[in-house]
Formats: sequence, C-alpha cells, structure tokens
Amino acid sequence: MRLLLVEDDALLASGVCEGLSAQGFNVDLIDTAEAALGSLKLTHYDLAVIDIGLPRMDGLELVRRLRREGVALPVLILTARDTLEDRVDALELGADDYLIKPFHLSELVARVRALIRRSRAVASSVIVHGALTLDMGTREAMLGSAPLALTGREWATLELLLLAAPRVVAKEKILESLSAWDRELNMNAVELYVSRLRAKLEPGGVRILTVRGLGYRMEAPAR
Amino acid sequence: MKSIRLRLLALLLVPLVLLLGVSLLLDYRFALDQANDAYDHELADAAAAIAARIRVRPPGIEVTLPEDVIRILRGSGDELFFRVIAPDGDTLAGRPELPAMEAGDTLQVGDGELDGQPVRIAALRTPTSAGMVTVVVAETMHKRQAVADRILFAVMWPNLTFMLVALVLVISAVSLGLRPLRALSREIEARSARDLGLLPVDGVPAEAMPLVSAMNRLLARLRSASESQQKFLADAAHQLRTPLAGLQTQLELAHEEVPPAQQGRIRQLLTAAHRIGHLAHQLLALARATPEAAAGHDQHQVELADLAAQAVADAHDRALARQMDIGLEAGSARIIGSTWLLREVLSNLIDNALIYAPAGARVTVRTGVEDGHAFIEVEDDGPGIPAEDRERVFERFYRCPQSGGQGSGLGLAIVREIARLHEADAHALEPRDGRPGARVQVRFPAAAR
Repeated sequence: MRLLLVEDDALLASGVCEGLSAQGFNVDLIDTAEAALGSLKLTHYDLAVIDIGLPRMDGLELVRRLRREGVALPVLILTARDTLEDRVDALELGADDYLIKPFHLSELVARVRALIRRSRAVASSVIVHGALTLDMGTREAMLGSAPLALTGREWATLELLLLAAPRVVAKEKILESLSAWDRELNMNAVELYVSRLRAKLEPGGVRILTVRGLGYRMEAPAR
Repeated sequence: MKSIRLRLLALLLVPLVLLLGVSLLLDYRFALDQANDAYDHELADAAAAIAARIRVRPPGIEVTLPEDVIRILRGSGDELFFRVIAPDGDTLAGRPELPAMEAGDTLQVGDGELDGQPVRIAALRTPTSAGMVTVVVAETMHKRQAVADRILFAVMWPNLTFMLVALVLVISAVSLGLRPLRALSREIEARSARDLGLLPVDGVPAEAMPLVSAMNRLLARLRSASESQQKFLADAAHQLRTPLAGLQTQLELAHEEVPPAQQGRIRQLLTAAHRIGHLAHQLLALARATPEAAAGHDQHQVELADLAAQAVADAHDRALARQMDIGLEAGSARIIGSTWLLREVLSNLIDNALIYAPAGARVTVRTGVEDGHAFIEVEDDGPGIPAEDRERVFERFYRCPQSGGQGSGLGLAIVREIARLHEADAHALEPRDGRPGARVQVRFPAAAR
C-alpha cells in the first residue's frame, strides 16, 4: 500500500516514515503542500497523512484544494492545535480523520489501517477484520475459512460496527439502523443481537467490546 | 460615590429655594410699602390736624389739643405719639423723645423707634408768624404689620405651590434625563464577564457617547489582547508538540530496534516524553483557562451528555490498557459554555480517575441535572481522596502523599479553573453508593431557562 506523508519537521517525518514502513506501508515523504499537490495528481496513493502546520500553504488549504480538484483519497490530518475549531475545520474541509501531536505510532498505524479499510470497503465492498471477512456485495461472511451464517439484523449490526471501527458505535445508532426492520425494537433487542453476534464471532477470536452506558466497538484485531 | 442625579438635584434645588426666599422677602417689602402708603396719609392728616391747632400768642406759641381730638387721632388700633417743636427747638407739647427728623420739605415720613418699639414717624413743618413750627407724629406699626402679613400670606401660597411644582418637575426631569444612562448601565451589568463585544451605540445620548466610545475602545483592546494571547498559545502548542511528537516516534522506533537489555532505558525515556507531552498540554490548558485568555473563546449552548459520551469513547482504549471499566451514565444537561474547555474538564477528570484508581477499577462518567443544577462528575471505586485532602487536590501541583508519582498535579486545578470560568464549583465528594472511592463533581449554576 502506498502512502504519502506531507510533513516538514525532519525528526517527526523520519520517525513516521520508518514506523509506517515497518508495518509494510510504502511511504513517500514530501515537505511542502505545493509539491504534495503535484505528486497526488500524478501518482495513485492509498492514503495521505498531512500535517496542518506546513510552511506557506498549510495542510488545511492542501486538503481543500485536493477535494476541490476531485482527489478522493483518504486523508489523515496531523495537528498540534487541539481546539475544537481546528478539528471541525479539518473534517469539514474533507479530511477523514485527525490525530493530535504527540501520538503513539501504534495509534497512527491503527488510524491509517482503519481509513484504508473503510475506503477499500467502499471501493471493493469487502471488509476484513482479523479472521472476519464481510463481502457486502454478495452478502457473504467468512470467519477464518468457514462461511458464517448471519441474520439480516446481525449483518446490519456487524456492518455498522466494522465500518466504524475502531470507533464506538452508540446503542441508539444501532437501534436506529435496525428500526428499518422493526419499529418496535428496544435497547434490550440490541443487546440480544450483539450477544448472538459475540457467540458467533468468538471462535474466530473476533471480539465486540462493550462501552458501558454508551455502546459497542470492535476490538482491534490482533496481528 | 458621586451621583449625577444628586448633584443635578442639588444644583437645581438650592438656587430654586434661594430664589423663593428672595422672592418672598421682596414680596414682604412690597406689601409693607403698600401698607405704609395707605396709612402714611392718615399719619400726615393727623400731623395736619395737630398743626391746625397751633396758635401764636405772643410772647409764645400754644397748642391746644382737647382729649377728643386726641381720641379721634388714635382711632385705629395703634398708639399715637406727637411732639410740637418751637422754632427755637423747644418742645411745646407731647413726647420730647420723638426725633425731629431732618430739616427739609414741609412733610417727611420715615421709620424710627420709640420706647423700644418700631414706629412710623411723620414730621410736618408749618410756618407761623413766630417762625417754623414742626409737628412730629409717630404711630406704632401694628396695623401696617397686619396688612403686610395679610398681603404676604396671600402671595406666599402661590409661591410655595410654584416651588413644589418646580420641585416635582426638576426631580422627574432629572430622572427622565438620566434614563439613557441607566439603560446603558443595565446593558453593561447584564453582560457576562467574558463578553468583550462592543457596546451598542444606538440611542446613547451625546453626553454619554465619549464614555461609551472610550469603553468600546477598551473592550476592543482587551479583545485583541485576548486574541493575540490565544494565538500565542496555539503557536506555543504547535512549537512544543511537533518536536515532542518527533521525539516520541523516534523513541518508539528505537525501542523496537535496540537489544532487549537496553529496552528498559528507552521505555523510561518514552515515559518521560509522554509526561512532558501531557504536562505541556496541561500547562497550555491552564493558560487557556485564565479569564484573560478565555475571553477569546466562543460561548455556545453545549449538551454535556454528548461531550461525556465523546470523552468516554476517547478514553476507552486507555481504560482497557489499564484493565479498567469505564462507563457512562448520561442525563441530558444543557449549559452555555466553551466546548473546548468543557472537554478539558472531562478529559482531566477521567485521566485523574485512570491514573489514581487501581487496575480493575470501575470508572463512571455522569452528567445530568440535580436540584436545577447541571453537573458533570466522574466517580471511581479506587482508594478515594482522604477527607483532609479534598480541597487541596484542586491546588496546582498538589498530589496526595499516598498516591503514586504519576500525575502532574495539574488536572484538578485545570478543572477548577474552567469551572470558575463557567461560574461553576468543583468539589471532591463521596461516591454516590457510599462505598469507598472518589467522586469529583463540577456543578453549574442553576440554569436560567
């Protein structure tokens, strides 16, 4: 997988480059937004990691121009500014996620993977999460090498959790999406479907975590 | 405190009262003159009547005044005195103490005193064959006084009425005139401490305009100072965080690369780098939470339950790493506040619980409304905060002696600082179920719905 890192701080750039390369990504490094704009138009990348604080044209402006020119690759923003306004700006301008400096390399890798998985799922309609594979085109699920039988509601719940991973999905949100089948559903029903899913996924080592009082999230797949 | 209202009233009322006094005095003088004019004729007549009784009988001059003439002369309530003076100055008849008045015209009228009481005196010079004889007649002032008093009394009431009407007019005019100023002060009073928006200039009276303009200039200066402080903090955050991020990633890579024997040292360096990063963040948060810097934050309607849900989701990985169970009990609670600062409150309260509670602890984030007060609280079932430390934990850099050396001691200080900015209190309490543990609550002022 080919990534573009747009970062002007040499120490951080080399660290991130090496860290991502060690995880099997092919990383190109560019230190100005102007140059990045050119590269992104010429070369196909799977994802761009862009620092907001670049000299001259800043990272937000770069994202704005990319989106204006129809470049659709996933963008992860690195920012030293943690005010809400900056985050909102970044996401509204078309960034897909942001990470506040300083961060753990493992966190960066997890976010990059999640973004790529999401964009792949959109492109190929296949989600892979550890031993679990969901083909949204054929609506077939595999756990390891064995096919996994899921009911419609279980499928919907799992798809929601996988597409959001590693984020938390609120119970209310699951309830909302299940209401397409049944308007009489309540929170207990959501808990029931999740516990059935857990039982089905357990043999493959795929786990759904509970966030008490809030909802559920997929446990990060072990590597 | 000097009141313009009192000043205006004093400046208007004192001269008004003085004017009334002067006017009354003049009225009284005028009344007296009127009374004198009327009675002076009678007095002159009396003098003429006496003069008519003067006969020259050589070698002398004689005056014959029968009792009945005198009685007629004394017809009114006043006492009448007289003196007849010969050309050589001898008193021919009557009271010698009466002054002769100045020599001059045939009739002179003036004021004088006799036996210690004021009298009106008329002197008539009348020529005789023996020379100029002077007749002096004096009369006490009672009836003149009575007339003057009646006139004065008659003019005093309208005067006093005018005075009272003027008084009411002045007081209400002053109140009315100052109304725009009171409206202005209400406008200023109603503002929040962090509202640095300019005062409206519409409807401000010309006299108050310089004050409002000066205030607006001051507000604009404060606002720009606050904004440049915000910008400085944002720049400082960037300047600090970028090299820290570089340092941290390099150390994480080094940790994987060095032989196992040296990994311990790298881990220590990493821990130190994390702590520096956390401390830098907290110092910036503390600086941003000062009233001067916070004036630049925008105020919004904030749903605390949403913020709490986000904070719990964000903290879930850290809680898992420490084998803790973090959960949410969210009740809807809306307040007006700064989203960024309120997020800091939640993340610091949660961090605090994650740092000080042991592995396996249960941490619960709650929001809601209690007795009309919106609140945020984070409870854990760890060892809790000793009662004697419950105030001190909010001091900067204070750490409970029995707690480990992990925290910076700034988290709860930030929480209290931000609480104060929102006119809220931050307190350490017992857990709700009475079991051991810590509960830190931020309680917002009762909502004005």
